[in-house]
Amino acid sequence: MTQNPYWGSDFFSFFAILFSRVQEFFVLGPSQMQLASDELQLFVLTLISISSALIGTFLVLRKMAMLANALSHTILPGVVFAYLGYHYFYASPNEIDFSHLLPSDSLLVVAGLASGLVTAYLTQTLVQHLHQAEDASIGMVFTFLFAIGIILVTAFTKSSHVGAELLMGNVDALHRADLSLIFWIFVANLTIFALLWRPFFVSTFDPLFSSMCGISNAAIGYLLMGQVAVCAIGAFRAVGVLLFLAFLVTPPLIARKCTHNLKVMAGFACLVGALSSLIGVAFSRHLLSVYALPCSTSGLIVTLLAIVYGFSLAIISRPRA
Amino acid sequence: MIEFFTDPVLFAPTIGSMLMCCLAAFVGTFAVLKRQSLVGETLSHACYPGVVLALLLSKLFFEVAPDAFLMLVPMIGASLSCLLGMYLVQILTLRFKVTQDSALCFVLASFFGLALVVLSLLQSPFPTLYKELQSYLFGQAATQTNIHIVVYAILSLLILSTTILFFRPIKTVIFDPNFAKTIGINCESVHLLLLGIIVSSVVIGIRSLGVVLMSAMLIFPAVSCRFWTVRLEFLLFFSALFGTISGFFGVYFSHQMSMITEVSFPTGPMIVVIASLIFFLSSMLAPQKGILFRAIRRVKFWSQCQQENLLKALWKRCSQKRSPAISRNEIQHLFQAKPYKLTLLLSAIRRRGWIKVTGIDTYEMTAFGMLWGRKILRLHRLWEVYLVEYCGVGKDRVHPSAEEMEHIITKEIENELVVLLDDPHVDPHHQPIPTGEGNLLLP
Amino acid sequence: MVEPVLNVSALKVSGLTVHYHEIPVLWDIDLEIPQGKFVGVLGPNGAGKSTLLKAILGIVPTVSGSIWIEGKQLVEVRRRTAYVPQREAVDWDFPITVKQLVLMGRYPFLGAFRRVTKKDHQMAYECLEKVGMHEYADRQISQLSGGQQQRAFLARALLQDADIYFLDEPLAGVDHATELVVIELLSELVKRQKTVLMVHHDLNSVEKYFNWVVLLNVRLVASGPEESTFTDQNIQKTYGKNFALFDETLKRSRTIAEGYND
Repeated sequence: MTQNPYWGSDFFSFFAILFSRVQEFFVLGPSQMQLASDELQLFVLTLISISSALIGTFLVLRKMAMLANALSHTILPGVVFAYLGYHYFYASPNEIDFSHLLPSDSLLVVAGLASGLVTAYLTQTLVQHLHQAEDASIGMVFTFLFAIGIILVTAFTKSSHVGAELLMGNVDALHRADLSLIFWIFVANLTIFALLWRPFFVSTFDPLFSSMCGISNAAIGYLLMGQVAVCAIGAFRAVGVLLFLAFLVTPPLIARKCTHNLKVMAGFACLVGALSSLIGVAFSRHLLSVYALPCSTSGLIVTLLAIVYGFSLAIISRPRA
Repeated sequence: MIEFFTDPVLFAPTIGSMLMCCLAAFVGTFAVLKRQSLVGETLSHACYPGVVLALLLSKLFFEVAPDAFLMLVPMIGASLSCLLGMYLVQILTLRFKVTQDSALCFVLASFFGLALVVLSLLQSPFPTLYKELQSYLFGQAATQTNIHIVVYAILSLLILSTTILFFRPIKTVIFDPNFAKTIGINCESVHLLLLGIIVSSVVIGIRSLGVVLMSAMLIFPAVSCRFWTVRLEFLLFFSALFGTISGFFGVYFSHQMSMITEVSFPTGPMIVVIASLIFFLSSMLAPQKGILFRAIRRVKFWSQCQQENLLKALWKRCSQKRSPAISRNEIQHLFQAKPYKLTLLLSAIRRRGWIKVTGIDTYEMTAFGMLWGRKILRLHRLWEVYLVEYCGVGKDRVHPSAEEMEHIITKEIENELVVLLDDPHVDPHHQPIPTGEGNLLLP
Repeated sequence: MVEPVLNVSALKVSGLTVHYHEIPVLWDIDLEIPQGKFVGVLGPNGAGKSTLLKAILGIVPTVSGSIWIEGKQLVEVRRRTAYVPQREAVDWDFPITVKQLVLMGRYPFLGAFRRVTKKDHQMAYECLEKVGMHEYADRQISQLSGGQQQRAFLARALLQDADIYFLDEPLAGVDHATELVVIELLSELVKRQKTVLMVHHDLNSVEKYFNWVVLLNVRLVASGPEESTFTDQNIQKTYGKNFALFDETLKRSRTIAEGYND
C-alpha cells in the first residue's frame, strides 16, 4: 500500500504538498498519479459544499431550511424502500443485509428524489387540506416517515441500528466510487441552476410575478426539494445528514451578509463552502499529525463555518434604511 | 396488558415512556401554539455539546459518582447548551433579520458539528468515555430503571406546578398578546418561562425518547387535540392524554411485534405510529372539525335543501289545484330528478311527516306539510326580495345564487327581513309571498 | 407590441366567486370595464378588493366565474397585464437592487433564457427616470423609503408596457410627492388608452383621480363612471351596515354547507 503523501504533514505543509501534487498532475497526467485519501476527502467535501451552497442559497431565501432538515430524515425510508424494492425484484428476496454498500448509485438517487417529492407533497397536503401550520406539518411528515423507515429496517434486517453512519457519515471510509456520484450530482446541480437561474430567481423573490410570467412556483419548489434530497444522498456518506444541513445553510447566510446581489451571493457561498472544506481537511490532517488527535473533519468544517458566520455578523453591519 | 404495569422488567420502560411522552405532549402544546413546532428539533441537537462537555468535566473532576448524579450532570450541560442555542436563535432572528427556519437550522447543525468535533477529539485520550458518549448520543432509548422514573416524575411535577402557577398569564399571552400588554403582563418573561419549560422537558426526555420521537411527541398530540377543543386547559389535558396513550400502546405493540417476529422492535417508532394514528383519527372523527362528521353534515344539509325544494314545488302545485292530493307523475313533472332519487326524497319527506301515501303512486300533503311548505316558500321569497331590491342582485340571477342561503333562514332573520322590506307581498318574479298566517293552501 | 383591439371591454368578469378557507371573500361579481379607464376599486377592509385583482390575474383560485381580458382568456394575454403588489407582500430583505427589480419587467418578453441586452438596461433606466428613482438604481430594496419602494415597483410595471395595469393600494403610506408622481404616470397611461385598476382607500381623492369606480363589499355594490356611480347612496351601501344581514347569512350558510356546526 502506497503511503499517504500527507501523512505527518502539518497545516501549512499540507498546502505545499497539495500544490506540488497538482503540479505533478499536470505534468505526469492522471495515469501516473494515485488519489490520496486526503485528496479524495478534499474533492468530495468541496464538491458537496459547492452543490449545497448553491441549493442552500435558494433554500434560505425561500425559507425552506427546516424542510431540508425534514428531508435529511426522510431519505432514510426512501433508501429503505429502494433497497427493499431492489432486493425483491432483482436480487434474492430472502437475505437482506444493510451492512454492505447499497447496490447502485442510480437507485439511491431515485430513492432520494422520491423521498424529496413525497415529503414535499405530504407537507403540502397537510397544509392545504387539513389546514395545519406549515412547521407542524413538516414535523409530522418527517417523524412519521422516519418511524416507518426504522420499522421496515427492523422488520427486514432484524436489527434497528441504522444510527451513526447516517447521522455522522464517515469521511474516512470514502471510496473512489463515492467521488463519481458526488461529481455527477455537482454537474447536474450546476446545469440546473445555469439553465433555470431566472425562473429560480423570480419564483423565489416574487411568486406572484412569476406565476404571471407563466412559471409554475410549485414546479420550482419540487425541483429544489428534489435537488436537496439527491444532494443529501450524495452527502450522507461523507458528512452525514445533519452536518449536510450546515453546508446548506451557513455559507448562504455568510454570503448574504456580504452582498446584495443574488448571483454574487450564490458564488460567494460556493467559495466560502469550498474554502472551508479545504481548510477543514488541512486542519484535520494537522491535528492528526501534530497532536495525534483524530478529528471529525466534517464537524470541523461546520464549526469553522459557524465561526466565520459569527465574525461576519460582528464585523459587517448593515446600513440602516 | 396489565402485565406491563406489574411485571418488574416491563414496568420501568412502560411507565418511563408514558411519562416522557405525556410530558413532551403537554409541553408541545405550548410549542405548537407559539408556532414553534420545530424548536424541539433544534433543542434536541443543540444539547449535544453541553452533554459532551458536562460528562467530560464530570469525569475529569469526579472519578466515581452516584447514579443520580451521573443522570443530572448531562441534563445540566444539556440545559445550558439548549438555552445558549435558543438565545442564539433569538439574536439571529431579532437583531440580524435571519428568518426563523434558517436560524433554527443553523444552530441545530452547528451545535451538532461542535459536539462531533469535541467528541472525536476525545477518542484517543479518553477511549472509554468516548464509547460511553457515543452510545449516549446515538444509542437507542436508554434502559430505564426505577430511579430514572422517580427523577423524571419529580421533574415533571415541577414543570406541571410551574404551568399551573402561571396559568393565567401564559394563557393570556398566547391567545391575546395585545390584551396581555395592556393589563401589564410582561410578555417577554412569559415567553422566557415557556421556553424554559420546553427546554427542561426536552432535556429530561431526550435521553429516553431520542431526537425524532421527541419532535413527534411535541407535535402530534398537540395538533390532534386541536380538532377536539380550543380551550387551553383542555388542549393541555387532551394533549397529555394522547401522549400517554401513544406512549403506552407504543410500548405494548412493539413488545407484541417483538414476540411475534422474534426481532427486538424499538419502541420509539411504534410510539410515533400510534401518535400519528391518533392524529389521523382525530382529523376524521372529531365531532366539530372531523372530516367524517363534516361530510355527514354536508350530506344532511344538501339533502335537507333538496327536501325543502321538493316541498316547495309540491306546495305550489297543490295550492294551484286547491287540493292536497298529488300523483307521482305530476311530481315527476314538477321536480326534475332521476326517478330513484325522487323515490328517496319522497320517502324522506314522508318520514318528516310532510306527505302521506294514499295509494299506489299517489300522495297527499299533510297539514303539517302544508304549513311547513308555506312557511318555507315565504322565507325563500322574502329572501329573494331582499337580494334583488335591497342588495341589488339581478332578478335573473336570484335563483341559483341564493340557493344555499335560503335554507338557513331562521325566525330572527325572517323578522328582520319583514321589518327591512316593509312586509312585502310579492317577490321579484311577481309571485305572491305567503303571509305569516291564514289558510294553509292559500298565499 | 400589438395594439389593443377597439370595441372590446378591457375587462369582463361574470359570476366570479372566490373563497378563502371556505368563506366567501367575493360573491357573484359581474363587471365590465371599457378600455382606457382609470378605475378605482373601493370598499371597506376585508371587502375582497385585493382578491378581485388577484382572481382576475389567476393568482388565487376561484370557485366559479369567467374572466375575459380584452375579450380573451388570461393565458393568451398575460403579457398585456402588469401587477403591482401590496408593499406587505414583498420580501424586502431579498438580495436585489432597484435596477435588478425593474429589469424583471423585461422577463416576460425575454423568457427564461434570452440574455439581457444593453437595450433592456437602457429601457429599465428610462423607466427609473420616469419615476425619479434613477439615483437609487444600485440600492438594495430595503434601503428605500415607502414611497421609493412603491415607485420602484411602478417602474417595473411601466417597463412591462402592458395594456392593463393592476395596482394594489399603491398610495398606502406614501409621501405626497410619490403620490403625485404615481398618479401622474398612471394618468398618462390612461391618456394613451391603457386601462388602470387601482385598489384605493382614500374616499376624498376618488373624484380627483378616477373616471371609473368599482364599489365592493364581498358583493359588487356598483360599477360605473365615477360621476354617476360614486354617489352618497352607493357609498353608504358599500361601507354601511346595511348588508350586515346579507354578510351574516352568507357566512352562516357557507359554514353549514361545509359541514361545520353553527
